Amino acid sequence: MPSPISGLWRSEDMVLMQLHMQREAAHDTILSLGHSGLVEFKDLNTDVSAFQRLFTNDVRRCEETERRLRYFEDQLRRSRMPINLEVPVQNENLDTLEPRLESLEQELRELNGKYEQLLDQQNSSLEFKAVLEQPPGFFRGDTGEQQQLGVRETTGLLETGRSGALRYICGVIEQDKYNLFDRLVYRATRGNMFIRATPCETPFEDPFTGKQQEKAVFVVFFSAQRVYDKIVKLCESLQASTYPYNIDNPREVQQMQSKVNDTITNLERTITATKAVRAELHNNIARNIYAWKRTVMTEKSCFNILNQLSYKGSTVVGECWAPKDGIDTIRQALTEADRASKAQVRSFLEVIDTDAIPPTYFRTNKYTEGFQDIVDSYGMARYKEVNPGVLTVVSFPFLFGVMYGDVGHGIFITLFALALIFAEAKLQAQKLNEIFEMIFGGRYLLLGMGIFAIWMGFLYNDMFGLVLNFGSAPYWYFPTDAQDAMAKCDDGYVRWHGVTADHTQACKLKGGSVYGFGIDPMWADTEGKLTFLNGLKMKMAVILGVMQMMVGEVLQLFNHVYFFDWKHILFQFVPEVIFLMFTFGYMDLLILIKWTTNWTAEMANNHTPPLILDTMTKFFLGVGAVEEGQYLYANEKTQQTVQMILLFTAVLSIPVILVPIPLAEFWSRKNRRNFEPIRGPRDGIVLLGDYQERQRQARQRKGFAAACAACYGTFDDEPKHKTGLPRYQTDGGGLPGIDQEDPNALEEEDTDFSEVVIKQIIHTIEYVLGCVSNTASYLRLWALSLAHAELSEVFLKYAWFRPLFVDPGIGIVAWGGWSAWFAFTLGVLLLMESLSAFLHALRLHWVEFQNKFYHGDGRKFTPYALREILPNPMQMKALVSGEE
Amino acid sequence: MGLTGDLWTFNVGCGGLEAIVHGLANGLLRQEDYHNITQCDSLEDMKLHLAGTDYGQFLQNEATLSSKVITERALDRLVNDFKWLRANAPWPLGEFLDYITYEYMIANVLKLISGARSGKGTLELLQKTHPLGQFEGIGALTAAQNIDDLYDLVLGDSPIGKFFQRTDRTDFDEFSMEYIRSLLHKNYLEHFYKFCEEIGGDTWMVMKDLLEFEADRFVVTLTRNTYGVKELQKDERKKLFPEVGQLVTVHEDLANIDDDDALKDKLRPFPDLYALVQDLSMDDPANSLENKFMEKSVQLHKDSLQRQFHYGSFFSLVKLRELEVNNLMWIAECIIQNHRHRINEYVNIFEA
Repeated sequence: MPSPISGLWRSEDMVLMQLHMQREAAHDTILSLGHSGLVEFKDLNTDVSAFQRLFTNDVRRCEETERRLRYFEDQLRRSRMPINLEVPVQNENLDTLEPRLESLEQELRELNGKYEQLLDQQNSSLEFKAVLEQPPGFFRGDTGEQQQLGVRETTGLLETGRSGALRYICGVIEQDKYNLFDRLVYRATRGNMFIRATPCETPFEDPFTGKQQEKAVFVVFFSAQRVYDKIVKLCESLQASTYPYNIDNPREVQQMQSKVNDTITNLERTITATKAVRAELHNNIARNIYAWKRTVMTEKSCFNILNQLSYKGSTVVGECWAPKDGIDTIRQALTEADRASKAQVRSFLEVIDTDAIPPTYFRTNKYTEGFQDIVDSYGMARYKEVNPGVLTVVSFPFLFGVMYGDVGHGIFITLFALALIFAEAKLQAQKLNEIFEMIFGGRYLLLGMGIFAIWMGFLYNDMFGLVLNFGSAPYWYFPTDAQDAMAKCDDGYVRWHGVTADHTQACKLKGGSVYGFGIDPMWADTEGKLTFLNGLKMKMAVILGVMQMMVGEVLQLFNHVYFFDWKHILFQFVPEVIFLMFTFGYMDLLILIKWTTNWTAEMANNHTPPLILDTMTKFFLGVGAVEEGQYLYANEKTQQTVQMILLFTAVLSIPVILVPIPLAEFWSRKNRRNFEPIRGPRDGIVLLGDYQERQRQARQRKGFAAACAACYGTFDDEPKHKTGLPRYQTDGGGLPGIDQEDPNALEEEDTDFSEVVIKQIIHTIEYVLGCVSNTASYLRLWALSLAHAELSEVFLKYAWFRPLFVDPGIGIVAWGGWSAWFAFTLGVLLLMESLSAFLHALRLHWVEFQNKFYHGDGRKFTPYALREILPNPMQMKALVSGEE
Repeated sequence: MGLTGDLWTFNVGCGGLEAIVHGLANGLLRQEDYHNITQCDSLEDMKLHLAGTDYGQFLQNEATLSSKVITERALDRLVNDFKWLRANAPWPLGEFLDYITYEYMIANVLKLISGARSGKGTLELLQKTHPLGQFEGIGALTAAQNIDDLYDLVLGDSPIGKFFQRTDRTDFDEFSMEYIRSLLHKNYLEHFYKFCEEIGGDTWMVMKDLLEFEADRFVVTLTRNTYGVKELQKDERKKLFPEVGQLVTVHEDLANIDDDDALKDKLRPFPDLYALVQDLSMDDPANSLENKFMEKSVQLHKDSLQRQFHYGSFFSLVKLRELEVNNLMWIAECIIQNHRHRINEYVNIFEA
């Protein structure tokens, strides 16, 4: 009988624990538990809104510190300073870190502000210098050899020759804005102006963004004073700076020039000094930022957990889920925390009884992880439910192989997977792109898929559409005419049985023996190959399908036995298996019989092989009738009798699935209603198994027994659990039930009962129809395999071989053909086909296999684990170097 | 079926963008979000609650919070979303989105001129403009000294130049400003209306209602605001009414009225508009016409978001998101100034 199994087969035993700590020790304790990464805390303050919790302020402090760190990161990104990725031993906490970072930020911001200001000043001086350095001709309208951005002149304006009569403004503007400026000034003066500009030689560094800007010196001449204000405004709006320049006084210009040069030299000196100080600061930050970041993130996560605990006086109580076998580790973590925090009262753990359904936790390794993910992405297993992931480890790649069977393609996939596995350590440390990361995550899955594809490829005897022959003497021969047959065939003329294959004659080759492994290479390039392979693969698909569905049923049995659900064993599992086995199981049996019968001998007795399809159609529609000479075993009469019994039993099992379970539910409820005041053990509708025994076992398996009851409703006629939490009763479908204390329960029972009935009706219909449609669905194994084989053959023949034969001898055409073939192989077969086979295997597992037993409505165990939360060095590096 | 395509072809060009729009519309703050943030005692709390909505960590790099910071960051988010949509929009959706921005451009132009008149610095003014209404050379508006300048300098080249008509008013006095505002808005509505008609299809059906409502709202508001204004001749008043909407037939009458009673009387043939004005009173601010129009327009925009295969949803999203930003500003201000009793006067987008 089942014992509490943990591991991949059934999820880990979980316990709900209460954690009592001294208030002062709470912080250290939580951190210590975070390092162990084994507990999932329950939020005990769900009714308190986020900003009313105790440690909200601390969380905010952490966020503020994180903001500072982001500022630092941004600074480091700009200065391209490499960061130190080692984690120092000494541990800082928020209280020591916060003031340090605060002052650091202030210092850095001040320094940056100063630097920006200086740079701004320097830019102005440089701009002014650029204006002053323009040759005098620039301001007089000489066209010269200078490179000019643009000149706009209104004839007649300058003809007066006296610049003194004109007003002018000169300045510096960003080159991008010059055209707009030009246009605007032209409009503002109604064309009554002269403007020219020339680009500055060196770009200017923008003090705020650090970008290089190209600028140009411009000068505008105009006549009217009225226009002056407008132009000044325009300059302002386009961020052009204007400078005083006296055209008529070259001496003043010279003086100004030397003054500006002095200023620039001074500024440069100061800027260099500021830069050095800033670099020092950056260096300091780069050395520590990773450690800081880890500290802050640790603290933040810790405060978030602290917000979920409940506080009573000087003690703190937390509730958490943990795997049962982790309790020792957790205790140890607690002791360490006690020591570290020097708490006077020791923290202690207490395992508590609960009716709550524990979270589901599977310990996976590198290999099983990928397969478990496939199952989890359909739905997390219920607590203690059989985990389909275990069988998926083999069945998934196998079904993939059945659809993708090709030695060549399989080798490619295997090699690719191996490459990923060998580069594992290197790739894991990197940040991969999303799609590649997904493929990388499934590397072991790919390996299995590749290996099974090779294996099935050997069985199908298929490599890139070519046939392998390992030299063993073949069995089959395909004679062209009667003479040929007489000469080569072993025992005369044997017809190979095919659907439309009258012209496909096959016989045993003289001296031939059964081919050692897989399909006989002689079938290659014969007309009957496709028909033969189709028959084989189709039947194989159905056999595999029924087998997998049966395994699903057996897993259902495991679940029922594990949860003492005799009701469901008797009235769900047994009739379901009978139905499946007596219909499609029987079909598989017929296939095997047909395969193993020596038809050469039978045909000598005028007994030709019947079609399975016909037999099965008559089985269902003709109530097991077998036509004259269409029997597969014994004789017509016997087979007919057997078939009638099978069909009858199968049909009879349908009401057995449908009726008893809702009925049992009905009685159990009725009893409960009649004996409502009675508390204590009483005989509900325990159909099988001893109540006392069950209770004893339930006591033994305390902790999850209650949860099982909650899941499966097996204990629903037991006295109510002491914690008084609402309980759930189900018909196996996870239907929320009623609380016995509820005064409205009686009314609710009725509505719930109708739900039970409806659910069971749906289940029955689904199952019966599902047997037909799911079996048919497994034919995709054949269809995909056929498509794959045909595609690779077509590509080989038409893309490579055709050009090969028309190649004039220089190899160009052959090379082109080969390239095309390889491109098709890579793009269509290796990428698209493998994806499609993968998806179909996925579907077969999710739908056809798992719907036989899997509930998948559990909740994943998500422990508070610091190693998951904290950034690793690679992520940190990417963050600071600005790669996303 | 129009230029946008319909059920068959709409998704070819705009399906993805439309899906994004509907996704963003789903991210509008719900009643319970508003309920939560109106309970906050400080802007920090508000930040915490907004972090749980689609606004996410939009305030994470702010050292100190103020209602201005919150509003600006929220507006940034709207602008970024909008710019992304605009950058990915094919023709004619791109042009449609541009039309949405024109309204903000008009507002910016007027803001800049009136700001410049009161002698504020150009840079300071530029910072106050709405980011959706930016266009090249907008800053040069401050150099304009009269309406002719305005047109010659900037508007002539700008996307909204086509909404501008020369008038005999040339000075920037307060009345002229309002006059220009109305004129630009009228022309904007008419152009947009015509453009939507050209687009046709479902877009036209949705936008027709929205724009006609906007036009009617504009006519009624303008009428009420110009009771007995002497500078505005009655025929000029009528010229400011957009030739769009249900009220076109009574424009003549509306141009001549000077009090609420007459207004109600004239609106009687239009039941949905009359419902808005019938118990109008000047004293009750919560019950003001403006609020009623606002509620009605929220309803229309929500309706537009219920439909598919049209551009109206882009328009409605921008409008509702803008309202949301205003709501956030209102709530943040109320929190800072401790005006608890008025905190619930934000525009209710999703009723409880």
